[in-house]
This record gives sequence, C-alpha cells and structure tokens, in this order.
Amino acid sequence: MLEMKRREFLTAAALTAALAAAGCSTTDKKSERAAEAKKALEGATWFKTVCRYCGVGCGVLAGVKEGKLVGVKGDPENPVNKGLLCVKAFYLHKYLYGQDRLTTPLIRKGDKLEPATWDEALDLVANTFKKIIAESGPDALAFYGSGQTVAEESYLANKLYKGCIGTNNVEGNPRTCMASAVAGYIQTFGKDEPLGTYDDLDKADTYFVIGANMAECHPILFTRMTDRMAANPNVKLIVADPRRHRMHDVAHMSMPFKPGTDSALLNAIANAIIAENLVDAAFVSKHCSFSDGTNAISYEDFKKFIEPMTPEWAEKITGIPASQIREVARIYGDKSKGIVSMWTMGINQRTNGTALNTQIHNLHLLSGQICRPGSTPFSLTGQPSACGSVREVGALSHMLPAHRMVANQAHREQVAKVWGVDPKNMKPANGLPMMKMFDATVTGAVKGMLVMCTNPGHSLPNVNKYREGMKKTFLVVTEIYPNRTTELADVVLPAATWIEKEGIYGNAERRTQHLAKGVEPPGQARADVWILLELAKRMGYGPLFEKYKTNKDIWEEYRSLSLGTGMDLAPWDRLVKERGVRWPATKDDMQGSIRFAYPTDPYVKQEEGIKFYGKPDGRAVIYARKYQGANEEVSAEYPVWFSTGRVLEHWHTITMTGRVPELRRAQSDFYCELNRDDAAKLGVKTGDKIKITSKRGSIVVPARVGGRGEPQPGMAMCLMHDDAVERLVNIVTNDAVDPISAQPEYKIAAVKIEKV
Amino acid sequence: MIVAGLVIDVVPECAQAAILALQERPGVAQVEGPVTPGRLVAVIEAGDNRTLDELVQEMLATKGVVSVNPAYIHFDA
Repeated sequence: MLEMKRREFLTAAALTAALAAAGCSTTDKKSERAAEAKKALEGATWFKTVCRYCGVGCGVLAGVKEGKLVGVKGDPENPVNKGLLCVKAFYLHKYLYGQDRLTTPLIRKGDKLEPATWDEALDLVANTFKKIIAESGPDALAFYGSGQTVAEESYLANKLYKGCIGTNNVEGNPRTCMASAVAGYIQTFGKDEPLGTYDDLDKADTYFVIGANMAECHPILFTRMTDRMAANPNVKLIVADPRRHRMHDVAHMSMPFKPGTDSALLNAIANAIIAENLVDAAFVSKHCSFSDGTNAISYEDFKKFIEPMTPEWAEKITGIPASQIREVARIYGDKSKGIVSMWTMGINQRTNGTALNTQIHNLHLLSGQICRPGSTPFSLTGQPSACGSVREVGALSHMLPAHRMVANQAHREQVAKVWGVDPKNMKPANGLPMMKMFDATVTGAVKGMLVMCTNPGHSLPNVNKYREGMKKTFLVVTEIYPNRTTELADVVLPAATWIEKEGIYGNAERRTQHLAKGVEPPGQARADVWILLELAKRMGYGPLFEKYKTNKDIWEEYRSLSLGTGMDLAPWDRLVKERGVRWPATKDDMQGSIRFAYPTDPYVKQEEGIKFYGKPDGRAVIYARKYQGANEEVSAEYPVWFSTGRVLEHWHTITMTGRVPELRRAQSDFYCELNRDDAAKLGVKTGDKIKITSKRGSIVVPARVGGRGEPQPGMAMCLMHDDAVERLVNIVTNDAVDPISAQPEYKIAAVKIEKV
Repeated sequence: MIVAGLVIDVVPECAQAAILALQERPGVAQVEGPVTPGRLVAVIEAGDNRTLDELVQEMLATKGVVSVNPAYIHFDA
C-alpha cells in the first residue's frame, strides 16, 4: 500500500515536472498532485549542477538521498534547457555506480595493472616525470586533457606544465572537435568563440545547419528550434548534409551535397549574394576588410575572385541545384529576417576546416546578418566544457589563460606574474599540437604523458598507430572506468566524476556554470584537482600551489586573468547562486550577450555601434578561399566516401553510457549505415557483417540499412561508439590535419566495403 | 523501477495519432496534450534501463514524433 502510494507520488512529480518544462501551467488538481509529490521526495537534497555530456550545457538538479543519486530533474530556472533534458539523462545514475568503477590507484606490473596506494602511485609518477625531465628535457613530457574536465583542473595542469615544468606540450581533446572553429573565429574576428548566444535561436527566422546533426548530438537545442518552428510556421530550417538524418524530418529545405564539396557550396552562396545585389554595402564598407589568406585585398578583388564560382559551377561539384543555392543566398540577403548558421564536426573535422569556418562567417558579413538578435554564425560545441575548460583556460599547446598566446611575450609575462613563476621558464614556442604530440609518442620524443578525463586510445584517428606510441610512453591516466586508454597505461589514477566533485563548466554560448558536489566519490577515487596538486607537490613545485585550498581559490585566480580581456568571467559566488553567467560580465549583474555590438558588448562604445575589436582596425575579415575538397579522394581501390557519427543515447567512446549494462546489447547497436541502393548492390541487409577498409586498416561491423539516417549513394557512415578493440572506427579514419587548426579529418575518408 | 516525466514534441498535425499510439505502449503510464502546439507530456515506468531505452526507441520511431526529452527521472522508485 505504502509502495503504491509512493509510486503515485512519483508519477505525479514526473508529470508536474514535464508539464512545467513543456511550458504549461498546472491546473489546481495537478498542483495538488505536485504538493503530494514534494512530500514523496522529502529527505532528498537537490543540488544545482550541469549535465555531464554534450556542449549544450543543460542545467540539472540532482537529487541525493542517503549519499546516493536518486533522481534527476531538468533545471526549470536554467535558461539553456528550461527544465528539459535529453535521454542520456536516463543513464546518469547507472554511470556513477558501474560494477567496474576504478576505486584504487593501479600500477603496471608486467602485463597487469595492480592495486597500489596513492603514495606509491603518485611518487612513481612524480619521480618518473622528474627523471624524464632530467634525461630528456621538459619537452619529453606532455599533458592531454579534455573538454570534460572542470576549468580549475585544466588551469592547474596548464600552470604545472607551462609555468613550472617548462613545456607547452599541453593539449586537449577539443583539438579533435573544435580547433577549426577557434581558428575560424580568430582569423575572421580576431577573438575566439561565438558572437551570438542561444537567445538567437528564439529570434531567428531561418536556421541554416551545415555539417551538424543536432537531433542526435545537440538534442535540447534541436528541441528549442522545433518548438519555435511549431509556434511560428514561418520559421524555416535548411539542412545541408551529405547524409539524411532526423533533422531532415522537419527541415524545409535539404541540401545533400557530395561529401567534401561544402567549400564550393559556401562560395557559391557568397557568389549569389553578390550577383543578386544582396550585399549590405554599408555594413561591409564600415566593418569589414578582405584577405586572400596572406595579403589584404579589396572588395573588387574579392568580387573578381568569387565571380566564377557561380551556383551553376557549384551545382556540377556539389550536386545541389543552382536554383536552391540562389534561394539560400536570398534568405541571407533578406535583412527583414534573421538567420542563424550552425555547424559542428562536419565542418570542423576537416583538413580545410578553418577555411570552411571563415566561409560561413563570410555569408553573414557580406549580408550584414550579424551582431543583431536572431542573426549570427554559431559554432556548436561537442563537449560540456570544451569552451570553458580548454579554449578559455588556454589549455592548448599555443595558448595561455583567457585567450592569451604563448608566443606573445607580454601574455607570458602577465600569466607568469599571476602564477608566481619566472617568465623565462615559459617557452615562447608553441608546444606540439595533438597529432604531433601523439606522433612524438611513436617516435619516442615524448616519453611521459598524463591523460586526464579522455580516451585517446579509442578516439584518435588512425588509432592503432598511436596506440603503439602510447604503449611505449610512460602513460598516466586519470579515469573513472577501465577503457581503451587505461589498458595502455603504466599508472591509472581513480578519479571523481560529475556530482562527486565541484567545479566550473563553460558551454558553447559563453555561459559559465557552477557544478555542485552532492555525493562522495567511491573508494579512494579523488577529484583531479587533488591529483594535480599532489603531483605538483611531489615534483617539487609545492610552494607554487600551496595557495589553492579550494576550487574557488583556483577559479578566482584564473578569473583575475580574464578581467579586461573581453572574456571577463563572473566571480565564483555569483556562479554558485545563478544559473550561469555569460561572458563578458564586466558588472555584477551583467549577462553577456551579442558581442562586438553596442550596448550588449561593454567593450563597444555607443558611437562605434559595431566594432570587431579583436582586429587592430576593428574590421572583421572576409576571406577569399579557393575550393578545396577532402584530403583523401575516392578511387577505384577505395570507392566509398566514409564518415563517422553518433546516436542520441550514447556519448563518445561510451566510457559513461557504456556502463549501463542494459544498453550494452548486441554489437549491432553500433553499426555502419549504408545507402539502400549500395546495400542492394552488395547484397547486404541490416545486421549483415561488412568489412570496411581504408589505407590505414580494416574493421568488420554490422550494416544498417534505413533507420534514423541514410547516407547518399556512394557514402557510408559508421558510429564512433563501439569500444571493441578490433572494431574501433578510428582504425579506418584519416589522421591528416588542417594546416592551421591542426584538427584531423575524421569526417571524410575513402574506403572499400565488402560483404563478409 | 525508473519513473520519468517526458516532454514529447510531435509534428502538430500528427498529435492525436501520436497520443493514441503512445497510449498503447506498455510502460506509458500517462499521456497528456497537446499542451502547446505539437507538444505532449507523458509519464513512463520501466523496470530497468533496457526496457526504458527500448520504450524511448519505440517512441522516437512513432510517426510524427520529433523528439523525446525527460524533465524528471526517479531512478529507484
């Protein structure tokens, strides 16, 4: 009877929360049920935190009772998600309490990782790192972090390596997902990170989404868009992608361009904007300059450059009708309506990713569809704090905190002063970017590496090559579960995870948010901040780290480096109270909004109106970019375009969602999608095994024909999740990188496919 | 037992058909709406994550359903 009553209460609580998140006020009767529901949850303490998975940054309320997570609610007060979550939230509970959770340090002895004490493990790491420095120099060490660490962790690692050890070999997995977006923003605007915010999604009249599958990868933002479209039938969605996916179910226009030809498509839209006199001449004249990538050029030069790249020219390359390209140009050119362009891995994970990013910015600059509500280019983010913990903290091999650069002497001196280190110990040359860093494990140039909160033994392209390098290196991994990287490690350190530690995340719209700690980590697992402080102490840098007693201490020091830079972060106490604060927040009550425009950007004066102050002349740059295809073209030997992707339910290399036993079903959950005509020619149906071979290696995986997505003829898409070592999709993917962003081209490879 | 409150977005003209289809599914305790154009709410109960996952997969495969988003999850009801 009591159990029945409890379930009724919980059902009422669930309904009430859903109604509130749906934007529906509850009836009196439902309010009564809500009150009853509240009683059912008496005894649970609710902690304000942020979702652990993607880059959207949804607010979460985590219910804790008797030291365990018992419930999760979308935070109705958080403006990012307004009470909604995606289905991955169903697995937040089980991922904390998996049977194989790492709860004690492990040290490799022969073929086995054996339990050790923290003292044994940390002393081994510190002494080995010191020995490597003494014998081979500081550049023989490296750090590989993550967009899933909290900002304080990346900040400490950056200080330890760049300020104390004296190497800039600090990288993070955002290099795999958004480095091209960073380079694109810096090239065009002189400063990293989006100009707009999620608020623009609620004001746009058109969404132009290219190289992104938001239905699977950014579900709450997708819901925000479909919600607006349902309420406003004139709001349109254009999806440009070589593969049909769930976004197409609600799209008003589909542009399935041939893989690798988006460069031609974007230039042709720019061509049509100019040819049809849709350029906002006043905006361009006042706020833009032009470049061929090396030298400044004039608007006339740019027109001449783009003139041959007509929609008809692009139609031959992309397969997209010229009329459709012109239609899109006219949408950009209609200043009575707003347009938000969004993209992610399909654009960024490319050897011309930086150029593609700038080509998207071009469309907004030429048409003047920028720096106003509902009109902006907006790069979506893959991880929960790729922006907050890596881009902003400067935890990449060329960066320092608050978007500073290691190559800039003044920047090094500013940071050294705050860190309390000798600026002469900070190297002026960039460290090794990610693929070169892992290549250095293969050559032996890097001899010791600390990997934190990421899984390169699964996620690097051409992965088998680099797995061999990691085996040769003294590899230290902080993790919560065994994975494809811990199996290569010499020392594994058990880490605390979401809700077991506090910290700060920063999402894609420059929103900085505090994550509360609600439960203790299991066994001997510790927060990465503690691990880094202990390592620093044991390496002899203790006095430089003694001042950090709490995460707040670390945050406030880091924040001091952000003030006055245009990336002004909010104070800790404010973040604890509020549902995130977007930067720049130069005043106590300020929420950052549209950048580079008065009055929303405090760095722009009223008389300036718009000023791209990241550039010395205050002008954003429109780039003339030549058409460039993929690094690897299909051929007689490798006739199929190959790409990778994700599904809604799983997260990256499944170190978290893979811990839900019921979700680890038959391996056919992790499949390779084929076009139905191609499948018919191969005689393959769903569930049949296929062998995929590139120049780098082969995998055998189940095929999927139909379902949530379908590639165009001549193309295949394989999920990235499967962690079976013989089926890692990255055995096949291409490790060629963009020459500017150093981001690899995961999204396009040439393969052959055979029925097994 | 997992109890969850969901917000389900549907193509508006498919809303009634989606409600009927969802009501027939075992594990769906309650469906209400449309509460706003194209938006339903539902409560589901599942014995384990596998059942829950299959239920969500079925929901996503229901004609007219655009997205399924939980607003509340109780893990051990």
